[in-house]
Amino acid sequence: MTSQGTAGNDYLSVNNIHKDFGGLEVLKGISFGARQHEVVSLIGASGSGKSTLLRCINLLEIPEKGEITVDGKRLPLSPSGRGHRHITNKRDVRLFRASLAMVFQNFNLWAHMTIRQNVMEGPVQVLKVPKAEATEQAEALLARVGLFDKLDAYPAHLSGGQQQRAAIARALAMQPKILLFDEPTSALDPELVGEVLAVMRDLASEGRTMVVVTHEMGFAREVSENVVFLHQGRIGEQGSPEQIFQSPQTDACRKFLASVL
Amino acid sequence: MFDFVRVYLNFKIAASDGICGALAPISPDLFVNACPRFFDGFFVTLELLLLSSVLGFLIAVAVVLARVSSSRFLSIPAHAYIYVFRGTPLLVQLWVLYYGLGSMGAEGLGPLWPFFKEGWWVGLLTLTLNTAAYVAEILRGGIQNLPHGQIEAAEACGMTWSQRMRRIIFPQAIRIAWPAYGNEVILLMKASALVSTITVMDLMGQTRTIFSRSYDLSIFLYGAALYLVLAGLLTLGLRLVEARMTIPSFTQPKSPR
Repeated sequence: MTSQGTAGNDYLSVNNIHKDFGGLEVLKGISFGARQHEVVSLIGASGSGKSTLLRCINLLEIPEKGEITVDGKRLPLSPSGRGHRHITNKRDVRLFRASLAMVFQNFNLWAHMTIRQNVMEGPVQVLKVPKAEATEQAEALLARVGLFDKLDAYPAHLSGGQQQRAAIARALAMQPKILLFDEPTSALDPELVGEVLAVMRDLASEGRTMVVVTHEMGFAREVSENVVFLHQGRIGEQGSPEQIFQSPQTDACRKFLASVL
Repeated sequence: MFDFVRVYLNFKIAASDGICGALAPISPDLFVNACPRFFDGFFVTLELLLLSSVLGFLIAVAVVLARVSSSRFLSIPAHAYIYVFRGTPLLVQLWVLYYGLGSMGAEGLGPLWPFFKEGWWVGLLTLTLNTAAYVAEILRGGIQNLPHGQIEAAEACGMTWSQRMRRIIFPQAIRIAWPAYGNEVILLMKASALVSTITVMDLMGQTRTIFSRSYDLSIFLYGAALYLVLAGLLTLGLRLVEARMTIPSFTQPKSPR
């Protein structure tokens, strides 16, 4: 089952990604794919490289090797001198990034803007949406995540769960093809995790394509179509949630699940 | 523009006459006689200060962008500029530019001579370049203290470098840096007294002139009092700007780990 990767009809396909940080190889050739409307969960112990993998997908980290394709468009990386890849066209990269919205562990809402402004900023600046339209959209999205009464609040005035829901609204405002979640509930107090997962479930059920790095095994099991277990920079195992959670094939995966369940 | 200048000149005369007139009945003769000169100097200092801090701020923005740039062609010259202007005394800078360059005279400086022969212009130039170096470092502190996630979120949604700078980084950096910036403006006000050594009749220059005629040491107390008034006005102005910029409980987003 491991790393045979990418069928031609995948909406997102990640192929043979390598990433090292100053000699420390964090990702050692990772391939996986996601079909449209599919939720893929990336699980694994800390240090297994799952967050790095997610950050490579939208180029917050530049992979040394490999390629990423979204909706038939290949990520504009090209080989440079030492076989490493670098970004050739900044504009292409920006467009590529804008099509993949990221939700961060620490929310990263812009602290000097109200949450309505946070949600409007990307559409207005990057997608050049007219302000009136962006305002309307922002209010609708914030209403959707249950924050209509907080439109003019600054992030510092919101709870972690509220901030993360606002960050999800900000991601949705970019009309992304794929939503990337980087441990979206790990920084939250336990009693706030539920409200964020509820929003994510809702998104999954309306057919959003999502890649979720998570420690919430219940969520991974219940919502995802596909679970990828990362182990020491490689794909340890991947398959349907039933397969991974009920009959894991590898020792590493069994051990990991035993430690978290 | 000319209207503005005329209004300002009239304001200066009116302020000077009005205040000196109002203080006359309750002031010693010494002050009454010197009062218009004090106000001349007061306004020269104020003008130098406002112009150099505005121009210096603009230069500082350019310098700090170069300083934090990943290109060495930009960051090394910016670094060198900051190092030189922060690493040498303002007095030395004034003297090098005024007496040093000035000694080359009309033959040596050609079309620049009319500029460099005027203490006021050299004073403005030096104060501007000097404060720009400090302000650039203050802004750098603001920029580099931003949590990296703020910038990543901007990158992740596809913003360009200039959008990130304009919309995300600078608006936060200036708020973080503002108290330190205010401090720099006050320091610049006091440092500006050094322009009196290159023949500028600022508040310090006038105070010394008045003293040299009367040899009454209390003259310096009046000079100091006017500097205090100026400091008060500046503090007030800085507070007003700060209040305008204030965002309710703008704090560094807490790092959960």
